[in-house]
Amino acid sequence: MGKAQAKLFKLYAKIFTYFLLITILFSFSTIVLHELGHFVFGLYYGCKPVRIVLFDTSIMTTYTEMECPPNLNMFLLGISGFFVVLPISLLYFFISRGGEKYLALIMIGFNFVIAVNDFEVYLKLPFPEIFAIFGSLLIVVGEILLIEKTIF
Amino acid sequence: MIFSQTYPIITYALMLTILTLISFFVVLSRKRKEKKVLLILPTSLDQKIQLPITDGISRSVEIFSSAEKVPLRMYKSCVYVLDPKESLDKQIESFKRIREQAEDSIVILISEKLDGVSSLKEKLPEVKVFKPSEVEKVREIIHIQISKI
Repeated sequence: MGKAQAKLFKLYAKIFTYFLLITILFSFSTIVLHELGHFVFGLYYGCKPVRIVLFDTSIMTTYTEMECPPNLNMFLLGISGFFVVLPISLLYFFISRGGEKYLALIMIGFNFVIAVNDFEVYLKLPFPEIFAIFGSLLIVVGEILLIEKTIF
Repeated sequence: MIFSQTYPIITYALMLTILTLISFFVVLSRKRKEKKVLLILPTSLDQKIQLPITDGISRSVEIFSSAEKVPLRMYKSCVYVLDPKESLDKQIESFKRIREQAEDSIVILISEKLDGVSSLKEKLPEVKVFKPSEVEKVREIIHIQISKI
């Protein structure tokens, strides 16, 4: 590898790491907002909060646990996590300047990906994986626009 | 009642890494075709050099009067013309920073006084030094650099 190529590779590696970290940061913040959505709506509908676990080492995931009355509208509670992220992402899109606004697209895309379980269990939607694919496409579009408008 | 994600966090992290990598390569392949060139030309020299320099060049050339105005973007190539009236040390630092944004770069000084050139050459061995009478040579070098594939 020539000197110029090595320099270029190092630069691209730095840029890639930056965008990967910022994407992971925003995506994991989306998980927190999503769980907060379930939690707040649960409280509103009379559920008794048990816990929000940001990282459970046994199942390696995030979850919200609540004790809810039996006659509760599970449809609304199930999609509350998904719908709390949407206005926050849109607000971020409109208030931020430059390429950073496309992080909102990544948040929305990732929100689709993490809501697949809710769509399947509470909305009883057929083929919920379609939302994961759609979300992944939104993440790619968001990433492309973010990288293009901020660095290149 | 438990609301949880389908997959472990590590799976999402891996998925985001793959998607970021795909997006990064898409942007790189698109941008490499555009091959933008960065030209930093002090205001005191632009009348002498700039006007005919981009004639006949189909590639997009971004011209700035100082390095501070250059956005954080990647360029195919960079031509940095040092301003003899400003602090050279400061400009050397700017050049070292800016050249990280370009695949290849050249730095030029046009100055009548050649007394500080040896110390400049020590700090920046790749610098090309010309006298104001050699402006045609400079124009030619810049033209070659910005039209290079």
